[in-house]
Amino acid sequence: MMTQEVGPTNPFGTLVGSLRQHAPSVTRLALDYQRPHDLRRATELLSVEGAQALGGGTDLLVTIREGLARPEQLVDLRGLPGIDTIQRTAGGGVRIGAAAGVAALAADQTIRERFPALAMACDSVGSPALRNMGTIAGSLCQRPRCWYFRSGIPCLKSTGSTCPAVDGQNRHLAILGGGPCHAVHGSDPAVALVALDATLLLEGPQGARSVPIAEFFVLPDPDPRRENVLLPGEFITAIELPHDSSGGRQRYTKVLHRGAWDFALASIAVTRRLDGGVRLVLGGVAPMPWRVNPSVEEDVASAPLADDDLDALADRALYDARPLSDNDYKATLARTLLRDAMAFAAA
Amino acid sequence: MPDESRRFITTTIEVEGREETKVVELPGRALAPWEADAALAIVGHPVARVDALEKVTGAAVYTADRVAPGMLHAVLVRSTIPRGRATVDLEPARGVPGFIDAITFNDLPSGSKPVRAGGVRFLDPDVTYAGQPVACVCAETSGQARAAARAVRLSYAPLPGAVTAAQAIAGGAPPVRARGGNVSRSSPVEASRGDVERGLAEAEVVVRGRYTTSSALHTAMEPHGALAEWHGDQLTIHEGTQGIFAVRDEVAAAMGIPRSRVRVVMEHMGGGFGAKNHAGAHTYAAAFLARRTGRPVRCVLDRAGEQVDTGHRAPCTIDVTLGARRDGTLTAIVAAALVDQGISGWEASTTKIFHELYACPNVRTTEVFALSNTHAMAAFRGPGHTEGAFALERAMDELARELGMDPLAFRLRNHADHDQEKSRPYSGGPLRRCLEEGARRFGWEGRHARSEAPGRAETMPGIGERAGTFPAGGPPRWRRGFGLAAQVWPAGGGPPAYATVRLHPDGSVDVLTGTQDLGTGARTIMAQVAAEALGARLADVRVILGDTERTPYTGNSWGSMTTPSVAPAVRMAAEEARQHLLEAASEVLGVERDRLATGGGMITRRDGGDPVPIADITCRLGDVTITGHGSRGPNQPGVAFTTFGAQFAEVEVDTATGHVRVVRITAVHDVGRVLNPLLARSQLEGGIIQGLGLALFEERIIDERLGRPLTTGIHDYKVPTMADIPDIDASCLAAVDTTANPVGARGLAEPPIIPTAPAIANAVADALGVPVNDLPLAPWRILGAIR
Repeated sequence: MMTQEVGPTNPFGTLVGSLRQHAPSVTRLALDYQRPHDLRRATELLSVEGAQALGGGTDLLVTIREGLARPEQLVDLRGLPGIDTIQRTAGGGVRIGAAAGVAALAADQTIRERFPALAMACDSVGSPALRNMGTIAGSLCQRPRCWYFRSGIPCLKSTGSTCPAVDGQNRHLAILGGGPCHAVHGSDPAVALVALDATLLLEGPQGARSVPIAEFFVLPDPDPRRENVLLPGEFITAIELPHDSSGGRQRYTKVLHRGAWDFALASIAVTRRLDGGVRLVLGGVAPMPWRVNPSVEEDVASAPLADDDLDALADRALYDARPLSDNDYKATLARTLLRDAMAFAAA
Repeated sequence: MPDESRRFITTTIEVEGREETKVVELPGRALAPWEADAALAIVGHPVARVDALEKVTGAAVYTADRVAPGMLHAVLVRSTIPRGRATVDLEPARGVPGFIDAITFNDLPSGSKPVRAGGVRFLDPDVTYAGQPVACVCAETSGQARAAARAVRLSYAPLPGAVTAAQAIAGGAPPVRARGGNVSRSSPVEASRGDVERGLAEAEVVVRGRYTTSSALHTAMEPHGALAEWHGDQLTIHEGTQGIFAVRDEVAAAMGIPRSRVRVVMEHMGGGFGAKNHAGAHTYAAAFLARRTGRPVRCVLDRAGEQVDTGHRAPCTIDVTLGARRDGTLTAIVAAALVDQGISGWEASTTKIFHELYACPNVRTTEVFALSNTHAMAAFRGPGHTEGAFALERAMDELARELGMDPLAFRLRNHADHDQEKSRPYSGGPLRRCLEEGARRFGWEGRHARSEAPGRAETMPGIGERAGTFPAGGPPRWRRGFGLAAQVWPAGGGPPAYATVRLHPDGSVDVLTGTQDLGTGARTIMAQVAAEALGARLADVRVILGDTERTPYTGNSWGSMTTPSVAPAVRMAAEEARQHLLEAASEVLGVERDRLATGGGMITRRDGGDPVPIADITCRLGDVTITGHGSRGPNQPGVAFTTFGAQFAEVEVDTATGHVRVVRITAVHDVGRVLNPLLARSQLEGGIIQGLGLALFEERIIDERLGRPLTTGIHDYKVPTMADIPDIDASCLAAVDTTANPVGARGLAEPPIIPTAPAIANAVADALGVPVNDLPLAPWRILGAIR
């Protein structure tokens, strides 16, 4: 563990109750901060136990303050060359640096024109302040949303051995893919990236590798403490969007409780690709972005749809939904979103 | 009026719907009120806040900004169980770098009366709600203090308890506290007039409903905080509070020192809404730790502490029965309320408004104030009336619907032209004027023509234009609805309140009064009143407030009392200073006193001479200081100083998602003279936005098995965002209340929140054609209601 001592040893340790006097400020930083400027150094720093990658800090700093995360060293990746650039690739796709800002993506002309589902998803994140600070990789790696976990009540994500939410106040929790933990993933961009068949480029102590985003997120069974396949010390360096996912018809739709600065009660990313394929991915209803059964996508892609068809397909898409005591409204929202998205894709 | 030989009289003052009897001192002389046609140059004008620049540039200093040399940071350690005995082990905290000191219950002075904060004994190890402080640690930095607080080891011997009112009053419920039952001593509180049985027998139409409101949290921008600093045996406390003198008195008692040894200072404040009326655990923690360590100690709550331990609007369940004749005449109003106070609190009546709002000969209400193992209630903007108005005004709409009457016509039919409860006249109003003017501004008459308007792009909430449109066809998914609701609230203010005005040799003016500016603009209002009464320029007037040592006594800023209580005292002080100024000017200029007047910073003359700047006179006087004193006189007995208001809402409801969008709100209130229309509009808009939060979003959630609150942050406790704020057309009637006090104004802080939630709910019910009786109207509730 690397720590810094600033100032002399505390002179008041033995002088409690002594005369009132101005004390030299003693700041012992339990948390080290590093901002490497090359990938090798970043990898080195992050391979130390207790190190954690920092982007915009909009989630990490909050979890540290709330005692939910206790890293000993923060490695700010925003100093790496090219880490925030958005550029076209040789194959006609787009490569997005891990620290590209959520707001920057929402405003980027290429993203808006060729991958509008991602631009819309980024635009719907939180508030202007969160979008300005937040990075795309940070959005993917944020810890999940559950008010038991977030308010420090022991649970499967923290120090507990059971889920206090499943039989408790479970209104905001998952209706799909839950168990033993039922927290939902809060990222809007993640939902769009799954619909866009993105690939994540990772760097780590064992070297670089790439992972399709659909394989990046994991369900809480068997290990509820993790939300993705990142190995210790591993971090995202870039996200690639393939040329095949660009264009066509794309949309991201989000239902919030209030008008802004809210996680999705439910959301959906839909694409009708130029090759005719359809992707339907739900957000806010599962521990990870939830792509619906590909057979449903194929049926949406293959035929004009009547109103009855939409109902039948939505039923099939939600066949596995298992609402808890207080969140079956999420099934209603998901059905609404699916019907609209399928009509949009089929139009 | 009492005869002039009496100096002290007994009078009655209404605060937050409660009546207090007080012996008060009569002012030396009575002021003639500013009449409706008075030519006022500054009062009544849209003057910008005197501290606006300071605030928008971040220069304004709040409690959490204050740093004293050598200051320590204190953090409260809170129980995680709702009921039982906590054992506190401070040892692990002592090893945390930067740790300086910590206190528990055992470290408090013994023998004296226990210190109480938030309705419970300060640092009591016998806890009665989750989040209750059991220790406080201090360290060199706030981060170290947080780490030390986290290191404190708590172990518990839990006891059974009850975390909802329903649990608390159930048969065989465990006691929620060591002594006393699970309901307040005076429960059930009953009040009635007439004969409701006869009224119900006479009724041709009867409606019954159950209405529930949530526990709303004040969620002020600025958290509670105090900075305590001892200089010898003298204690100074900087605290963002609604009552500097209340904090002074409470802290002096806790420390066992005279009030004269405690100075409480409040310069700027980021909102109170009723949660900052008293010293809190943070105040006592800072004061005790500062005394022990000999260093200044600041204790500012974090957001979680703010959301779990600073009071709440008591959630309630109200059963309402209304009866009316076919012609729409009310014959009976019956209400029974169950209010969940938390572990302590005063009885903010949710049923009083049932006796007040409409004319009806037969009214009976019953109210049970249950105690539960959750944090104590605290007054929250329009306490009681806001909850009661929701139930009553929703029920009124249901009855109008049964009668086939227009909701506005139905209300006008049962209009109260005097105080129904006490059979006395109103000083202003009545409500009818607000209802009629509001209806006109809103376009109530032609509203349904608008509702048919086709062609609106259907967009998803929250993403606005950026989202796609929905496919056309099928049954209309978005439904539009209209609703209204009304409000009454006592806001006449009253004594005691004192002010001093003094003129410096350069003509600049100090106004000293011990009130507080919560962010409402009190500082600006008092400057306007002083400048007007003195004939000075506004820019020459500085208002010094919020300091128990240097400004004369004025009470808490609660109950919409500040303007009607303090402004008359300020006016009187300024008028007295003006008299003295004119006498001095007469001597200096050699002109008869009654040929001189003031205005715009000048002494004007009726002897043909040129006007002379006030500064010329004060300059000639040098250090002979012109001073005026003023105090608030008693209210006229036998009159109700009621405020009135009506709000109208238009909403759109997405029947597929349950999302409610409030499109616009029209508000018309009557508060007597508006001293500053710009600030008045801010108050109205603030109240409406807070009421919209209550209607749609805000709800403290508690896990009933653990007794722990889950809405500990502002992601999960949802206040409205800018994106939720509708078009608001808010105004006050042109009115002057010369009966109320010599400035002609009643209070405005609380009234605007009262009718907002029922107006919105009535609009949603209108849109959906089904009742919506439980707040907040969240998507899951709406989808449940239309299923």
